[in-house]
Amino acid sequence: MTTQELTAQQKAALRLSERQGKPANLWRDAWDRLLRNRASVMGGVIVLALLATAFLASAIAPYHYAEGDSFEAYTVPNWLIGILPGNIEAYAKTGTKFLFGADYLGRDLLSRLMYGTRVSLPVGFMGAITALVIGLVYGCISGYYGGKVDNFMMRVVDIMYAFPTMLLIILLMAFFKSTFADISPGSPAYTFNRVNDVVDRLLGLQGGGMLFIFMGIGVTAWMGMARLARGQILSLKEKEFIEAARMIGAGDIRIIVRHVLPNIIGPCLVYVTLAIPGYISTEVFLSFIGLGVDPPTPSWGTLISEGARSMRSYPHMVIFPALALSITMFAFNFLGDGLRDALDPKMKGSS
Amino acid sequence: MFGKKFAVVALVLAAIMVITSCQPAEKLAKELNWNLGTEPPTLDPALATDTTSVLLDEQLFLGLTDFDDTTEANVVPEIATEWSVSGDGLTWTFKMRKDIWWVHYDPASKKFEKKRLVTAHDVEYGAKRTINPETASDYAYVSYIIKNAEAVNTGESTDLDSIGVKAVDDYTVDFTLEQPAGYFPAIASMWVNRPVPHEPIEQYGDLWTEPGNIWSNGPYALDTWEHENRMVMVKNPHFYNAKNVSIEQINFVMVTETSTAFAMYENGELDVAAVPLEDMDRVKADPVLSKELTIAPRLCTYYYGFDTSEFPVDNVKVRQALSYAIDRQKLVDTVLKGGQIPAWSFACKGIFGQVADNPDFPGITFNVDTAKSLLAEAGYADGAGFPDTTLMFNTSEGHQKIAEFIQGQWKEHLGIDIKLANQEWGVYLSTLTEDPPAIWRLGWCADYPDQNNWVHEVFSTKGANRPNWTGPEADAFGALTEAAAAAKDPDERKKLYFEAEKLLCVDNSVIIPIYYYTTVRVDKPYLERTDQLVGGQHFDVWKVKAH
Repeated sequence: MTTQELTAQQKAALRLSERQGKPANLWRDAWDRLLRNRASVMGGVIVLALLATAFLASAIAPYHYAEGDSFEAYTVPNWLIGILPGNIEAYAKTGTKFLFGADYLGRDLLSRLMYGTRVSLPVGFMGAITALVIGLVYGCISGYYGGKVDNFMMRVVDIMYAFPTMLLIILLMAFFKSTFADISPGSPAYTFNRVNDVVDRLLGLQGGGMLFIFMGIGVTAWMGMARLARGQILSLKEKEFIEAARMIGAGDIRIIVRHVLPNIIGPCLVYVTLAIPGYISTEVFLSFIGLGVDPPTPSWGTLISEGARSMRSYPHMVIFPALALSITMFAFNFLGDGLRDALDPKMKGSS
Repeated sequence: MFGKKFAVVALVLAAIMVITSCQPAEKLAKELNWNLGTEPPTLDPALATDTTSVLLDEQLFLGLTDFDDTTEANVVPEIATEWSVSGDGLTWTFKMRKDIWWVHYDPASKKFEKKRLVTAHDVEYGAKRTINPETASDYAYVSYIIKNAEAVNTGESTDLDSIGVKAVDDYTVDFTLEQPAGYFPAIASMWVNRPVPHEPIEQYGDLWTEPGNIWSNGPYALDTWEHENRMVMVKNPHFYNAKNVSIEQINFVMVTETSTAFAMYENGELDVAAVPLEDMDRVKADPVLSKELTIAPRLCTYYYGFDTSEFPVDNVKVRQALSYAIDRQKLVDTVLKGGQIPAWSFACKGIFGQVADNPDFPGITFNVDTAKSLLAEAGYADGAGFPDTTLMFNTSEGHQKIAEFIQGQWKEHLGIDIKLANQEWGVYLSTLTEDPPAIWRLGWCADYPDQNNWVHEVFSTKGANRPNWTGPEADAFGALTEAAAAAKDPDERKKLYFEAEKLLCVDNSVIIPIYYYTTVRVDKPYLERTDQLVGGQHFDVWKVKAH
């Protein structure tokens, strides 16, 4: 009896009793389901911790990201010496000043990692927001109005899709980097640079060039979402409750916002959450190949790329950034999986 | 019985003696693996300006003269057997060898074909081709010492025949100069004055340097050139000294990342590699690698230049402040670690007329107080209100580290934020020509060990003039370097170059000299090599022992 699985009816009855007779609520149910998934709770906690780090970086980081004395370059933390292979004591400086060690200019790796969240997380979330705002609106218009409008708008998406995404971003970044290097006042590049400065200042990363990364990733982030939203709406708009709404005189905007969106937001949110690690890794890749943020701004991508070069002599420089990146990727993916199960139970098990 | 035993012992002894006496000849391997570090911009001697192209041209094309591999880099004969100068110092006559062949190598069939002998007419053709404005050589100004070369190159005259280079007969060539120049035999060694074959150039145009098209006369011939990937050269059996060339094939790779190249070296895929900055400490501590490490002076200087027409570095005080604020010794000690020497002048030790080790030279050295007060005088006390300024360098891990270090120094000592940007080498060079950033990075290596090749040829307003340096002091600088080139008395020349360096690096701070290079490299122990301070390496005299 104790080990027996509950039947579906029993489960429903149990949930009803848990709610103590309160009416069913999509968000509340989803929240409950999410909490029951241990992996996604863990993912959520890590994401929250990362967010806190990003917000509080200037308060909790032991040093500033650009501050360092090259006399302390490549300091390896004492506690790590025993773990690392090879004969590092023979040539490396060691010390306890830096928990994760120091980089080639004696800058604290831990602080650089912490400030690095200010690059990675905003890039992930800006990608998601661009996808939601542009993609959702675009997809809704295309799907709801259908016909020629739909045809035209979707062909535009098809054309955009035909470009290899990564190549397009690389080309864009290379273009931005060369075009916006010009800083003579009055030119459009100058205006862009001013906007970029504001963005950088908001993020607390002066001279980072974040706007260009947002633009590069945003340009390609919305297309998948547009297709998803359109597909969802196409099947929804023929449903009876939409017809009913139309019959009582509801306008297009009201129908989309009040009746269509709430029904498709679940899958869309799931899609976006699962795409965030993709945006983050795009930025990491861009920084890895030197097209990302400008030095000395730390990005996990630049940290990993610097670390990979020094790997043969100073493995500590690559271990920590790589660990941080993989943990973040896992966290977002677990959270996304949990959200999918919670918001869209029909899709459970399919990915 | 005794006799028999004795006979056996004698036989064994004899056998041992025979075996030990005919030691096999030293076993040699046939291939050298070398990293170019970049795609060579060109193989055409008339167009080459960078060390990679020059290294490759050294293998393919012989010059009239050459430099030996000593630290003095003396001029030695190559195609020319002897040379003499007329009494007025204006006409140089070179007598040429008669056994140098133009060779065409077909990579498909692996066959060499002797085309024809190299003659004085090829020298004349090569020298004139560089000067001809249609060739668009960026190094043509090196030849301006030759009579009428400048007029033709700048388009003032269209008469190629008026240029002062003439084949007297098939194996004698005369160079007539604008003014006496004792260093001319060194200029005669340079790639811009090397003989080139007119047949493939006329037939293939720009593509004449591709494998299968090219004719060459050096110790090696071009076999494969996969752009941006690899290049292979094979020994030229018709080279006049071919019997002494030991390495039969050179495999060049084009790995940009020094860390990757160094890993390849450690895996035995390369025979020579530069040591990346991040691996210096390990190499010095490693029992094997430290024995393979060579640190030696090079005739090169690392420097930052200014676009003196660009705000805010159009202000000489800003430029001087930036120069005073860099702790070059700390850069060398903590970042570079290769025994480099902090620089205060453009030309390094080993160049005639240099002031690098002259204690009387009032060069700029690290001084925070002077830097701060100069910046305040310029109107940016403690860096307040300092406008957006970009420092640009060509993409490389090493340059990036140096730039970040200096960016940090300026932030720490002057309170100013300088933006960093980098571009790939080819793009970077054209950016420097078309629209140079406020601060840019370059290095200069001696083509011949004379100041004329440094202050005059690099910063003369007649050349590229990357700093956009104009005004009375720029004119004074130009006049000084030209007077120094023409002066006969060595002491007089030294004095003039002293003043020129002072204008360039101190009074006007048109450049920030940062350090004088050293070679920091590892060589496999089985490699027997020489080290060429000027011009390309002489792979033809190297040996790779069996390994």
